[in-house]
Amino acid sequence: MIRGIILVALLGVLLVPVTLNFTLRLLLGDPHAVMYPLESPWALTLEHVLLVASTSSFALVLGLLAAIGAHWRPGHTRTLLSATGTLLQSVPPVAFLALMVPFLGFGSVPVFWALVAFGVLPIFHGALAGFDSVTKDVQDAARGLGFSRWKKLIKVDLPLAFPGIRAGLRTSVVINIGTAAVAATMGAGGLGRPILAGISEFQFSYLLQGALTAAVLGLLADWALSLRRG
Amino acid sequence: MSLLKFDDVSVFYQGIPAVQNLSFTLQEGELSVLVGPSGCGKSTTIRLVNRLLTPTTGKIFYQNQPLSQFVPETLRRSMGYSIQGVGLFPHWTVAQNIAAVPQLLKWPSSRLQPRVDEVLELVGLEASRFRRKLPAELSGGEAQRVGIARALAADPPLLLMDEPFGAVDALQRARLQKVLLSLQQHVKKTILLVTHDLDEAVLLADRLLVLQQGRLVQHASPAEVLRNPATPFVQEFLGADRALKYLMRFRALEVMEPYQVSGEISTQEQVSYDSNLREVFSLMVALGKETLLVVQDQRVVGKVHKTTIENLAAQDSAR
Repeated sequence: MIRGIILVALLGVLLVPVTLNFTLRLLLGDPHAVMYPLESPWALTLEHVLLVASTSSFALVLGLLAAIGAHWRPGHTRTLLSATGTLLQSVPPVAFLALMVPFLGFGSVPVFWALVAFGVLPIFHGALAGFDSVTKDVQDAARGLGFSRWKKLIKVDLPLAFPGIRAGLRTSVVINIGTAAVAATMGAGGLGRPILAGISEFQFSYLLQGALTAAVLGLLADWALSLRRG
Repeated sequence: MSLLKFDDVSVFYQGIPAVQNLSFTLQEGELSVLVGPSGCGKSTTIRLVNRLLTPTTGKIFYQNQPLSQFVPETLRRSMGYSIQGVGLFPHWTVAQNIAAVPQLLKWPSSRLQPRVDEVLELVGLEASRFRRKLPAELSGGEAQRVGIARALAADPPLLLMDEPFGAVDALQRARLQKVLLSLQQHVKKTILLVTHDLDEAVLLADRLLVLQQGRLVQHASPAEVLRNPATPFVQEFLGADRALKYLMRFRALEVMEPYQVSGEISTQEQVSYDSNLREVFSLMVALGKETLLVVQDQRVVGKVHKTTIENLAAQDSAR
């Protein structure tokens, strides 16, 4: 809980122009350092959060559906889905985004789908691990007692797979926060914008603002998604 | 009306037979035990009944209707199912686990808790203590009991039990067998139980179905199977001590001669009234005694003679 409060306070400092400028000057030891001027820190962060939230939601749905498919068809379907997942996840995020360009082009729509595609994999793996953690006896009992496929999914498989799904979602969201910053190179908004501007204009303070805010967002998401229920 | 009937049923896995030409009818209200060495097809047989498996050839009838005419889920909800690994849902309390099938059957919620308590008491667990526990808080034996309670919850006419006491130690196993027997005296269900343990089969069964390599080689009462093994295989499977096995079906109480005694008695010379006669006989041999006292509620109620037991064994099994 203390971790959460500290992280929220830290994010607050990075969102208000006065405190943000103060922090940047303090960290860089440069009294003239300024924040990225073209957009308010609020707007940049909100854009970033919205991009991550929307792509991660899509990724959650797709990842869960793929895991349910693999769970229900343990034969070739599962092998194929699982192998595809592992292969795609071994590609680094930047390379992944670059690889998507020939298929999706530049702009916010392709970036959106690239982020979804990259976020699906940890969720798929987490959910599948969750389903696999349901013992054969429990599966057998559920079927033998007369649970239909859907009843079993909703009442037994999903609740028992919940820790795995949550762990997958957590990894996915944290990766997504970083990857979404890189996505600015392909035309997405958000915290990647000051980072890019900082690199091209040799303004280290812009770069630091983007990186720092993204890092705090990542830590905050990691903390929030590891909270236990009840 | 027959509750369950197999008519020339065979199951092949990739051309290899698991069960072959199986035909039998279960007697209603009886406990039938499928017994045989591992790999004989007994688990396959029980999984055919609730359509977890489908016969390659042949027909199965449930309540005089072909099994294939039932929706699998509806069929399974009408049969109790208890398995070796128990498979309690770890995220639900004992009460929720037991109420699983009644809830699938959409029982009104006012009926659920009384029923949960009722079946918990039937399997010998105190409802107020166990209702709210999670499966992780139960011992192996308690979990098995809850598994049986869950199978009984919706009051199904047929109970399927696949090695229901397979996962517990010998002491727990003996206790659970007693629980099942006393429970069956109350509920009089038609039960199909699978076990590889011949002693358990002889102790529990009203009727034995002996399987060998997927074929039914004998279907008769335990007394009949022990007395007249149908094939050399059955005879070998029963073992050389089949006369003694038969004694398991009787309790000391049933053959004792009423007898009262006052004063101190040595603990070594007495047996409990519900000990089976094999245990009693074994103790007599060990102690070199011709008679033992029978004790109930720490009072002597009778005595058993070795000759009585010998006569019983000779008369009923070795003739």
